Amino acid sequence: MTGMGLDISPNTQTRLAARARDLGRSIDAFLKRLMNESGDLAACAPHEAIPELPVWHLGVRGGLHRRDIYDEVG
Amino acid sequence: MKSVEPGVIDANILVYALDGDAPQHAASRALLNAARDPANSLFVTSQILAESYSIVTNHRRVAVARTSGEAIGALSDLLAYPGIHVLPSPARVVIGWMELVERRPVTGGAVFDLQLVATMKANDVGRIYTFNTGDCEAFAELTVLTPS
Repeated sequence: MTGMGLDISPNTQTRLAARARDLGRSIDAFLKRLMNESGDLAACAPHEAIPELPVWHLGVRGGLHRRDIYDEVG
Repeated sequence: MKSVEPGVIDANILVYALDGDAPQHAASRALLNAARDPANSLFVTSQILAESYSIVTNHRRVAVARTSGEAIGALSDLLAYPGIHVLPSPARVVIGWMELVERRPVTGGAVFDLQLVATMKANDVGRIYTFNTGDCEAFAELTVLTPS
């Protein structure tokens, strides 16, 4: 984890990491989710914790069929 | 924020939601934004996330490919939405897609459609949002929806 450090016990850190891994998320994403779901914390930071997806200008080619994505590998 | 029926979001939806130039962008974005509300549940799988990553970082799939860091950042942002859930891929998914192949003996990359369907079935999810409805027509057990 980069950025601000947290003073939490190794046991809590292990549990956090395990729970995040079970949900297929990074610890950062897992904590953001917990904050979003917590009424108390949400009151402190209503929507800032939910990030906005970027808007890119990709110029998608083709229909994005799954078979095409894999067939072009290699 | 609008209410949506729970369902899997296909990779094409994720990519179109990120591509402001795509005609499907607004509808895809609106669907994903519904997952900013924890009352809604939309699902992704590891396969779908990897496919989305593959598309946006591949210059053969997009004119302006993004970097690895940009792609991971966008997917991480999506996973922070309280209504987005990652479906697990239990071991029975293997038997599931093998049984689907017996029913529908596809070859090549088409097997990955079956793997996704098997993952959905293993998690009792029967609805998928996609713009490639034709790819799912063979699976009568699925409800296929296009965002609008």
